Amino acid sequence: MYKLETRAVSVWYGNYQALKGVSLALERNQVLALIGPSGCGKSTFLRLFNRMNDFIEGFRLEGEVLIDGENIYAPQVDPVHLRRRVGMVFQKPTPFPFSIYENVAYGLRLQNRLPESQIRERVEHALRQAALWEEVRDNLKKSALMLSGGQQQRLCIARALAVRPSLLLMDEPTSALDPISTAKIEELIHELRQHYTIVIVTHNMQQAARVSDMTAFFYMGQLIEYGRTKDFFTNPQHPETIRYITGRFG
Amino acid sequence: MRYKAVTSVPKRWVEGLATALITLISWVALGALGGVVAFLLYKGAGVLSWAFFTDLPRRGMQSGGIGPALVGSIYVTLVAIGVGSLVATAAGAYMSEFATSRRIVRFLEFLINTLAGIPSVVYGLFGLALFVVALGLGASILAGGLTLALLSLPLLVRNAQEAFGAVPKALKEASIGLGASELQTFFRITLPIALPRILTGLALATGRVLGETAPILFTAAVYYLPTYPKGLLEPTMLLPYHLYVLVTSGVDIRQTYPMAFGTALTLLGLTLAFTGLAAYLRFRLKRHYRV
Repeated sequence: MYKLETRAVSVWYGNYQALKGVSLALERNQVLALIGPSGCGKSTFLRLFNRMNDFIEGFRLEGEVLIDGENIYAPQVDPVHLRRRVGMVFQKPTPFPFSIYENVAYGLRLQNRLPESQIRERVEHALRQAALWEEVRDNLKKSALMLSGGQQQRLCIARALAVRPSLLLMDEPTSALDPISTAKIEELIHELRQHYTIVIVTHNMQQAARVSDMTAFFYMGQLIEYGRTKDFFTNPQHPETIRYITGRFG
Repeated sequence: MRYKAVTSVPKRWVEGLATALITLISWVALGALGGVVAFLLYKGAGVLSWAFFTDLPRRGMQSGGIGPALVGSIYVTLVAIGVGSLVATAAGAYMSEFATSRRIVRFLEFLINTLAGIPSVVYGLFGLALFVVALGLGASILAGGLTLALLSLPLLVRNAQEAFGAVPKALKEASIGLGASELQTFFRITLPIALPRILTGLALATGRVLGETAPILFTAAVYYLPTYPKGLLEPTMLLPYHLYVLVTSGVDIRQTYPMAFGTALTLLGLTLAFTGLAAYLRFRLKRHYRV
């Protein structure tokens, strides 16, 4: 069974068709990079998996989106429960104006009441996983807004990991960061792959080549090419893909 | 010379004159404001004392204090802001966060803007018809407070709506993405972050409600009562109306003048205090959240 699968997925926002019959499947513990020019539908595709598009006026979907073989757009699925299994990291760091500790504990406090000792354990574990623990261990009570941009983004990753999702969605997680912070996040993605399935949207093709196992190229709402990353960049099949990865458009 | 003077001499002269004029006019306006305060201080500071704030009016309101009017005003304002803040926060939250149709929100905004333009005496009449007569509350602290709540609603609702709207969408999305329901996101993220701004609006509205005269004329105020108000369903003396009485309808107006200025000064002080509180909250808000 695939971790992720879409079957002939089309998406409309009102009259505008954002995705056109996209079918794709991804194995467990793989990293999938979504690339393509702005407005190609890659962010829409990413946000299908935690149903963040549901809030957009005029959103309509055809086809099936499956996680662990389960159609997540079936009527009996509660999107709130779904989002607890699917973590998301956004383009810009979005720390809440609380302490570092409370930021990471946020998702845990939403669910069934855990004893504080257990919350503390999971906060520490998540911060270690996000490679932030050593930098903040003495300042857990300090405001998260005091952290640097790169630290804030790793905090957001820790926050997403704390609720123990099995799937992690990242929407251009390094586009607002400097090169050193970017390198740290990429390193992190490498380590997280052992435990999580990751889907990452990126504008940076070197990044896609560095961090991903599979790459999908979107253009004008269509999935143009999908394959193993090492084949994708060394031996692209489709002329549009070649033009895009050689930098002739986009 | 590479950079020639683009502005000719007469033009610069006109500009200088215009700047001087604008400066002068603003100083005159500010001076007038300062003049009001200075005048009230000069005329009214003499009667201010602890007894003035706590004593009952005596000898045809020519001596004694304004105790019942001060307490009455505080009660009525508490009712107004208490009820108004709850209703307005809920309405603002609906309009900013929960309404699913833009058209409904625009229609509500139109209604609220219209309400904001209605003269306050009309609110008074409406309060008389609805709260005093139809609901049988009589002229009372409750009826006056509810009327003032109604009057302050447009201001408070728009303020709450803007406060919720100013909370970055990215934070709300992040919360939803972590598995929070919309209601959890509202109570854990949106409301706490919007709160300082909402409180600022409340403080401004409090200052305004304290001084409103017309809406309480027929709904709460009495000319003279020799006691402190005892319950929400009792009528009461109130500062703005008491001031009106002291200036226009005392037994011997010349004798009540100092009392009138003392009352005016008290009102001004209370209003300034709440406006100052609003300014302080805004300052704190800027320091803590850069939203």
